[in-house]
Amino acid sequence: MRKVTRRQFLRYAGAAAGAATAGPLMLAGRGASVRAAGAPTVTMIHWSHFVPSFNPLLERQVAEWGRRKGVEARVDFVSYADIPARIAAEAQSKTGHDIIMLRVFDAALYEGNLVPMDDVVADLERQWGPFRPLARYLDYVGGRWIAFPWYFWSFPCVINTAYWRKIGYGTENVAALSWEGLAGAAKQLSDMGHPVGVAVSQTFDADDGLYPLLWSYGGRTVDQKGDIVIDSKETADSIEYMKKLFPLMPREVLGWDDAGNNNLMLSGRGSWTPNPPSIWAVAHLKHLPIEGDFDHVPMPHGPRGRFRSTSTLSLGIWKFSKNIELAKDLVRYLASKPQYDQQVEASLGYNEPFLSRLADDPYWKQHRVLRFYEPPEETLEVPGWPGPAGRGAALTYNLFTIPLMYAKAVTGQMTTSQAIKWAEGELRKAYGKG
Amino acid sequence: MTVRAGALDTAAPRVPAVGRRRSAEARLGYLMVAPAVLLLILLIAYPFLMSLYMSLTDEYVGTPGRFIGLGNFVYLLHDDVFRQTAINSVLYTVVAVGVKTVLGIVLALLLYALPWGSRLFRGVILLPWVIPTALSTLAWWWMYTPPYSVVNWMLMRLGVISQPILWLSDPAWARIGIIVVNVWRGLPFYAITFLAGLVAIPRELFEAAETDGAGPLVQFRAIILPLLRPILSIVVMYSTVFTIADFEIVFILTRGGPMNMTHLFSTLAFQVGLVSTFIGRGAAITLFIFPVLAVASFFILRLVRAGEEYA
Repeated sequence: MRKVTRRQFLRYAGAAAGAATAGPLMLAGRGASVRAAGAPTVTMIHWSHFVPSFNPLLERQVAEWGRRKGVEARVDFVSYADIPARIAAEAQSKTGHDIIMLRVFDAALYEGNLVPMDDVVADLERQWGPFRPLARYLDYVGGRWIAFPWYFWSFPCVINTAYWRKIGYGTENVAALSWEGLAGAAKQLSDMGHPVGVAVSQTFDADDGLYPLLWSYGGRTVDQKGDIVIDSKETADSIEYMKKLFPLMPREVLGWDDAGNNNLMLSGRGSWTPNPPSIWAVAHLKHLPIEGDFDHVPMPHGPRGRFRSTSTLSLGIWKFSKNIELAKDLVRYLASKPQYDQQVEASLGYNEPFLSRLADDPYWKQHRVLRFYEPPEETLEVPGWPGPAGRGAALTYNLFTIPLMYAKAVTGQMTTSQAIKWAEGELRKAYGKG
Repeated sequence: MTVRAGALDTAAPRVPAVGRRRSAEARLGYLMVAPAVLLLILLIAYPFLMSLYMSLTDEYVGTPGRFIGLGNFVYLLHDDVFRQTAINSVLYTVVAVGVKTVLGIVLALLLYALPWGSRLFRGVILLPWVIPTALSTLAWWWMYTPPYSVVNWMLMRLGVISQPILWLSDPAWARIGIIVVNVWRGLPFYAITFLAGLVAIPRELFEAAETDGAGPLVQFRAIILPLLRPILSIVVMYSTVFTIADFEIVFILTRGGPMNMTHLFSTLAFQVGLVSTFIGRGAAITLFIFPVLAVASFFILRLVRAGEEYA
């Protein structure tokens, strides 16, 4: 065997290390040039839908559009909770997907990074419009449509009718309940071992469950000008109410994530919770026997009205995208009625349209369990209403300021007035009014 | 007096052959470490300097920020949530590292004393450390979450508790819950490292101690602990760095809740910097880890030196 001296070994090792370092870089560069020379790939990011049958349909629709256009097209799915960070990372690094899903106030947050969509929105509104008022509030920023409002899902209440019947309530009776009426029934249901539950934790379902309570008592986080108005008798009344309801709920509502109330209902333990129809949809898709017991009712009404919170999904296109026109075409395709009708069906009615003529779909009428879901009886708003769309509302929503206010009060960590003062301070910081 | 350059050249001593070889080797040495230095600059120095810069601005994701000096740091020092996070981080790190150290030594001693099957047990206890953290933490989430919590089911069956523990919903239990997962995951590393240190201690020392009539406790105090001290200190320092910067366990189990009682620096930075897009403030939160680590490292390294002197 040939003897290798120490010096030769060092030389060989150095050469090998150099090749190992430079090789991948050279190959990566070569790969990039090969990709650049081929057909464009249009990419899209979408949340992993809570109704699992929606995802494969969207994949098929995107691929079908790609085939028609002779380009590659792909949709990537990410969990809903991870979407904000993913979008932020793409905006910061200026690389990523061509089309992104934008949540509630994201269009205002990323205005400077997104291609205006006035032409797409005008086309689609002419064909299937007009839009529901919420669409303009969220995506029309600085005199331009920054994103296309695709669909939303809202938070009525899911009930287990079997338990409610035992205490003498039919679905129509539950649908007519006030918050006070709910508390009375919740005592009986809790005694039966089938509590009601609304998340009072750091999760988006908590925002969507608790804002309607605040609104229906007349409380608001901010007014139309963005001035902080949380410190009011109405807010205090809503907290005092929650103090009555909290002992009747499972204490784990303080730590629920977005699946917490789904588990409560699907396990057969829970009797009432604010949620879109995904709980029923999962039971339906998995042929669970409990499916027949589920129904949906409007949110309870308070002294100042009846409200329902909604989460929204708009489609935006990054300015750094190299396929802007193709991406716009894909948005047009996904939002046209033939595709939209399939999407409603695949999501089991979960997706609600912003465009009014798309809401003509008979799906919601055909399924009795969805009769209170679409069209909603309650006033439909987004957390942050009635203030200006933008960073303040987004920060308050993402940092769970309102759920934390309720949590601090109901656990006795703070008094009602201290919790409101705390929330006021957080709102001032978020809206830059400090 | 003027001296010509040529005169200086001739006056210079000749570099002997050995010196030239050494100089060539030195150049080769620099060349060899260059890729590693380059990687360090790219992967550590650049992000660090970027986050330092961002922490001094009011930058939001995707929009250029203005220089605001120490504004973010001053804001954070007056922010309730950040102060709570700082307390959480220190508590989490001190308790988790402390428990891992004690249990690690106990486990190492047990493995050292095993009469048979030592290799098998060493392999088995490494499993929690080898499984990807995200995966194992998801399993813990399932074990903690009502109504399916198998931990509660087991404790109730054993008669330890009569009511289910709210592992992720009660502030105190949520803190305990995340520390348990951290200890479960980190313990194998401690035990195996300590075991390596134990094996390296000459057996003659134990034999001599036994001859002198020293019992197990005296042997532990007079032989094992002093000789393990350098390894112990390094492991504690290494673990402190990783524990205080922990992210996955809290992110998957509690996302900082309930009521911000389990937020660590990294999870709060993620929530503020990326989810809420205030990346300047998020960067400032991460930089607060450095002074905490600097103080911890100072004391631990002092302990190492003390151990070296003793040894």
